[in-house]
Amino acid sequence: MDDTPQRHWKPWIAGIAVFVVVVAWAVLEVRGVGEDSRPAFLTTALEPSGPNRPDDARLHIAGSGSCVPLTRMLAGSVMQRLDLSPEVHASIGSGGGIRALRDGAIELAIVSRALRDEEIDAGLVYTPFARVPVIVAAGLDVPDRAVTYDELSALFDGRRTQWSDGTKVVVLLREAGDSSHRVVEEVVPEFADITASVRAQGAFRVLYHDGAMQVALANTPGAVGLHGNGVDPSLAGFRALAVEGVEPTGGNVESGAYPFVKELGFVTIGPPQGEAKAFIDYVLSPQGRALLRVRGAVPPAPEGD
Amino acid sequence: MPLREPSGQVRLALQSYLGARLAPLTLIVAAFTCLSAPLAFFLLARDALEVRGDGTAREAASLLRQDVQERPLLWKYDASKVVARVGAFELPGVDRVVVVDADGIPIRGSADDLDALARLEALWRSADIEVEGKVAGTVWVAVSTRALERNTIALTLGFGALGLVLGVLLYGLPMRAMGRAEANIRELVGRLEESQGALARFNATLEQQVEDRSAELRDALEELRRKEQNLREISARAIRMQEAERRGIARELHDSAGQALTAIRIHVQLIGDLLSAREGDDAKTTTMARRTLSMVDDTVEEIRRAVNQLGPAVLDDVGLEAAIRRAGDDLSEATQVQVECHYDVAVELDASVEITAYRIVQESLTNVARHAEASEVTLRVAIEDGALRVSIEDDGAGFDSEAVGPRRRGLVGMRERVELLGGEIQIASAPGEGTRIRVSLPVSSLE
Ligand SMILES: Nc1ncnc2c1ncn2[C@@H]1O[C@H](COP(=O)(O)OP(=O)(O)OP(=O)(O)O)[C@@H](O)[C@H]1O
Ligand SMILES: [Mg+2]
Repeated sequence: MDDTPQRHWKPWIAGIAVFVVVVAWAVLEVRGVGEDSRPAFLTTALEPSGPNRPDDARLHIAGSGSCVPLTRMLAGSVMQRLDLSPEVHASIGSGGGIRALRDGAIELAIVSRALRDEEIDAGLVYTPFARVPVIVAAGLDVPDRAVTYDELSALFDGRRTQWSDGTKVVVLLREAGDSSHRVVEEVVPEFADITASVRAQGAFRVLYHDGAMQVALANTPGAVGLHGNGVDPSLAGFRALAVEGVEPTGGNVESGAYPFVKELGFVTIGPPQGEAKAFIDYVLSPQGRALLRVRGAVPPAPEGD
Repeated sequence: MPLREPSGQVRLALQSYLGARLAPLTLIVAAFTCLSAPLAFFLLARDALEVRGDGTAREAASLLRQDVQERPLLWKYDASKVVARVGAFELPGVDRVVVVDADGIPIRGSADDLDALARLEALWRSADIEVEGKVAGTVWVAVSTRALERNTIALTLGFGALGLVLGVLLYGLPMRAMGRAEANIRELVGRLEESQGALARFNATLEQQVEDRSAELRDALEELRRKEQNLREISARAIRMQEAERRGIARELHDSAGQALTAIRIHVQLIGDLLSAREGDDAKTTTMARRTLSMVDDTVEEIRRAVNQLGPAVLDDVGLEAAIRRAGDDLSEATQVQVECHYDVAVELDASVEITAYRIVQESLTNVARHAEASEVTLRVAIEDGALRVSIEDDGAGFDSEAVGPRRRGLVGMRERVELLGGEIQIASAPGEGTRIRVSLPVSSLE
């Protein structure tokens, strides 16, 4: 036993050293959380590193998926007739098209909605080029051929779960704000609440692009969904149901008998010019109109009509 | 370690010694207890969050990959759909999913509330959206750490309390036990000291008592010696007086009765002579006269012997050595026994010692003459170790000392004389082995 004060302090020093190391280690472990792994955009203002635009001289067209099939068809046609080779990109939505246009990433936006005031104020110019029906699409295996507004609501809010032959109904939704849904909501006001609530519940599958919707409708037994991109359903592998007894034909769209109609248009910054103007002029030319009609779309009435 | 304070208080310091070592240890144990489980929980839970974040980010990235592939450059303008799609990953525990382009800039609608995002208590995990080997964008997932922090704090509080309790027990219990042990030891040491003190005091008294007793014994012994000395002196004086008286009686016997008898003998002689001169006288009277003469002669002889026995005048006349030698000569003359005599005494002896020695020799030689039928007797008288040693040895018949008759006074008287002077006597004899008598008489005390 040695009881000099010095000896008494040694265990204390050792103990406190170990204590401090332990606590420091714990604190470091805890404090280190996330600091180094935080994304850069939280701490620094980042600038784009280069131009957004594809580095070629072609006319780039992008926007609503509803417009893409018709625009591609028209672009293919114009390439044969004029010295133009427009590239129509996969769907990025009407809003995405307008933003890409304003960002200078593309020269021509294709939209399936009207311009907003703010967009008009910013000098954007809207040129409609077609009206297409928004069809209530069902799989080829579905026995039913027509729906009423009530039946449509019953299908989409999950009340009706079986087709007339007893097979199961599979509802396919588009994301909120989709142009086809908006068209139906305008005609059937309760439809907005119904789809909002089933989307929130996650009751049905949601598809984010026209292409994906098209594939899902063709491949899902008992499927039903809204679709409107001017593509002939029979070619795509599904069927359009009559709504309130009216078939979604071009004639019924033009006459106004078919209730769900979507207008497609081009958007340019300022009045169309250059290649964009050339392409629009072609679309609205008699050849273009004829092509649209062939695809079941209704071109705008010619000027002066 | 000194066992005592300068004050004299027993100093153990066991408790403070233990405390000095136990307290840091307790601190460490408490710290470990308090921190280890919450820390382990924190690390594991954080790992789990990271895994969840990584999983969510990868899943979102793979979901977006096809869209991005189909729309190089332009995919980011499809913001609302991208945001809506990845929004499906904002599950419980996932605060936000943010999609950034190749430059790391969040796409529109994905991170419009930057300030709120920066304040988010979250763990950010990411997964790149790779198209044809190039990073087209990145999905960032903010996994909430609020629950993690809350739980960690709760656990830390809980385990802190546990650590505190453990620490108190770990420190308190041994310290209390040690305190008690120390008090016990101190008490024991105290008692030990007390009993040591008592023992020391007892020893001191014991020594004193022994001393006192020894002194008393010494005094008693001294007293005894003095009394013995007195006694011996008185005995010696008594012997001397007795001897003197005996010699007086002997002288009286010799001078009166002896002289008278000698005169009577002469007269009887004359009467006898006269009667024999008258012729014809009856022979009866003559015979009577002769018989009377013979009786007188016997009586004279008897008296002379008694005188000799009563008062050994020879001692006064010729001294102890000559008296003894004469006694020896008398024996050998009377019995044909050879007597050898060794005398070696150079000091002046007290009269009582001389008388006793002489009486012993006289009685022993008488016994030899009467009982021993010995052929040789050896007499030794000498001074050894401050005592007068007298020995008489014969080669005669010997006797069984156990079977001595009660009326025999000789040997008993010898013993009495010796003991009166404080001496010692040994009588060694067995039938057929002769007799040896050894006497030792103290002489030093008389000088
Ligand atoms: N020297 C000796 N040799 C053999 N026997 C002896 C001798 N001395 C003593 N005794 C024995 O011891 C006995 C006791 O002796 P002690 O002198 O006392 O008595 P005592 O001579 O018989 O009578 P007294 O009383 O007249 O002396 C004797 O009777 C004798 O038998
Ligand atoms: Mg005798």
